[in-house]
Amino acid sequence: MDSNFDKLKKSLAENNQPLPPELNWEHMEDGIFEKMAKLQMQQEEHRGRTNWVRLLGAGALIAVLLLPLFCTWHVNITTDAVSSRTGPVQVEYAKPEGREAAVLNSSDNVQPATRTEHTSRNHYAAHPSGGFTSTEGEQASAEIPKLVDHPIPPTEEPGKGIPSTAQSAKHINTLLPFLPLTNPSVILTSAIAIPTVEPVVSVSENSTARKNDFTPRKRLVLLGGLSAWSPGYGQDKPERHPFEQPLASGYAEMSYIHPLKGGYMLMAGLQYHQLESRFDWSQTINDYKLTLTDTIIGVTTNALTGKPTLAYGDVTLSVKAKQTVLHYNTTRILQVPVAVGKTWGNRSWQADVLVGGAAAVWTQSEGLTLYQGALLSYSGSKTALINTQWNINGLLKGRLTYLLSDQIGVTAGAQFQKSLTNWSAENGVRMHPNVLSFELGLSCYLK
Amino acid sequence: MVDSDILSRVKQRDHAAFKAMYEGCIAYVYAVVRRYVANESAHQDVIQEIFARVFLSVHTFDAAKGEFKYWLRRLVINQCLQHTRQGKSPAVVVPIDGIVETDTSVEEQLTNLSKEQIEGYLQNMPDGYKQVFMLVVIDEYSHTEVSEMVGISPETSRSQLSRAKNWLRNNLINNNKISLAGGL
Repeated sequence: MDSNFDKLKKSLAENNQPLPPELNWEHMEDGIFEKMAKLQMQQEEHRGRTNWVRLLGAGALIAVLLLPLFCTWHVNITTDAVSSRTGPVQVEYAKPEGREAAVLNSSDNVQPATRTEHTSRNHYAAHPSGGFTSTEGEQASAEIPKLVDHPIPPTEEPGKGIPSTAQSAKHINTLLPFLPLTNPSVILTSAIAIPTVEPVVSVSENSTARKNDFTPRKRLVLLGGLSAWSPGYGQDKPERHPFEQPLASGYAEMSYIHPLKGGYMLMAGLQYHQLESRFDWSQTINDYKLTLTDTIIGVTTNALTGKPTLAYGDVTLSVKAKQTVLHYNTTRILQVPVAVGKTWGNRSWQADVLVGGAAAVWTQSEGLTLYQGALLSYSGSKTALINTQWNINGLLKGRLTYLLSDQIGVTAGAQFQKSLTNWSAENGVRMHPNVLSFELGLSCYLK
Repeated sequence: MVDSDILSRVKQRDHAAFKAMYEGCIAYVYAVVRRYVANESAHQDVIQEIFARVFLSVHTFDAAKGEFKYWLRRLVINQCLQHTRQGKSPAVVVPIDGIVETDTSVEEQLTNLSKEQIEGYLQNMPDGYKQVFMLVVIDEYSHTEVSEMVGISPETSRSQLSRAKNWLRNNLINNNKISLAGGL
């Protein structure tokens, strides 16, 4: 049915309608270019917003992807803690063998008073870290007859195992005031299990050491922040320089830190920089020609009738005009940073200083600028004005991490980058941008 | 309409090429705009917006995918529809209850009308019908394409077209009656 509308289609598609004079190019061009500038600004703003949304989305995605990893670590650590806790307790109730049996054998040659003192301290030491309860103590008491009744063969090295217990007693003494009293039968029980208590004491020593000693660990660091930058022109500045103004820019980083010996570390990762600038150019034209077409240029009066007649024509006027161009430029850079550094810290804080370089692996510049008296729009990593491809930057960064848990910390810091290669593609112009970034994010400690 | 040389020069933002492209396309653009935007005082603004978008997005035109004319037509129509959606040209709403299906062929009657008369009918057609009628009948878009452009479902597009034809048919009959009465 629709195909029968051929005449209608033909008729309406014909371009034989005369064009109204206001649609001539001369009348339309200013409006078109004004709308183009407006649209371009809107596109830039939209693109900027889209990039930020993408960046945040990527950050959220990475965080979500890493979340199960943290959960797994948590479970592992809990499991380890349980196993180290249950270990000594199980040993304490096990049938004496090997070295334990030797200690057991040696018990005959030791003075009862000394034995009681050592064993009681060892037993108490087992209590806090091993979770030794009164029920467990009673169970231990029940074991006494069996252990005491066990036939004791003669030994060649009487007293073996006791010196180590004596050494550990020094640490145990510190725990004594916090421990509950136990009945003498339990104390006697522990005399049989002196060596089995040793690992518990050593665990206590390790945890004390862990509190005081700081060991750098592998880390994944996710950061984002704001950057302030300057083009870093040399002595010969380009013509556009007075009209350019760098704006607050964005920055994001994902990096891995590998600890080296002596508190040193190696960092590698990805960094994304979005450098924004504003271009504000205006000029005053003193002799701007403005033509008023088909306007009244005179009035003549008929001498006979006295009737006035209007005379029409074009009038060209010279006026003072101001031409303004406002635009935003964006340079996006994806870098691979590599740096070495030193780290210091304690259980809650960690400070890092890093020095290295960053190589640009992808770049793009977009904008409009003044070049040799003409406004030039550019887009790409290599343009007539700048070449951001394969740039190398020196970097220096310092940051501080507060550990929220064993696995995660909040990191804040600052980074300074200076381009070692020349960005400018213009003859005689040197451009080595400086970028100062303030960063905030998360450090995820790997096992 | 526009040769490839002008197109490539426009992509390089050559001012002379802008003018050449404008002059090559304006008649066609104006014909389409007149059909979609009833308000004549808005034509200049709409056309400026269209050419600003054409110059900025001409690099997205791919000759392998079709003629430049169709790429331009799509852009022009989209801009006209956007203009209408923004309320710059208020839509005329006509109740559909009074429209009765008749057996008279619309096409047959249209063949007897001049271009100006057809345009007169289309000008008076409610905007909702007119958009779909022109997109499907004149510009030959499918109902699926129309649904994407106008933001309605393909079923709504079909029913709007049917109502547009009924509207046109009824108006043609009424006008015939009036002219017959005038002749007597």
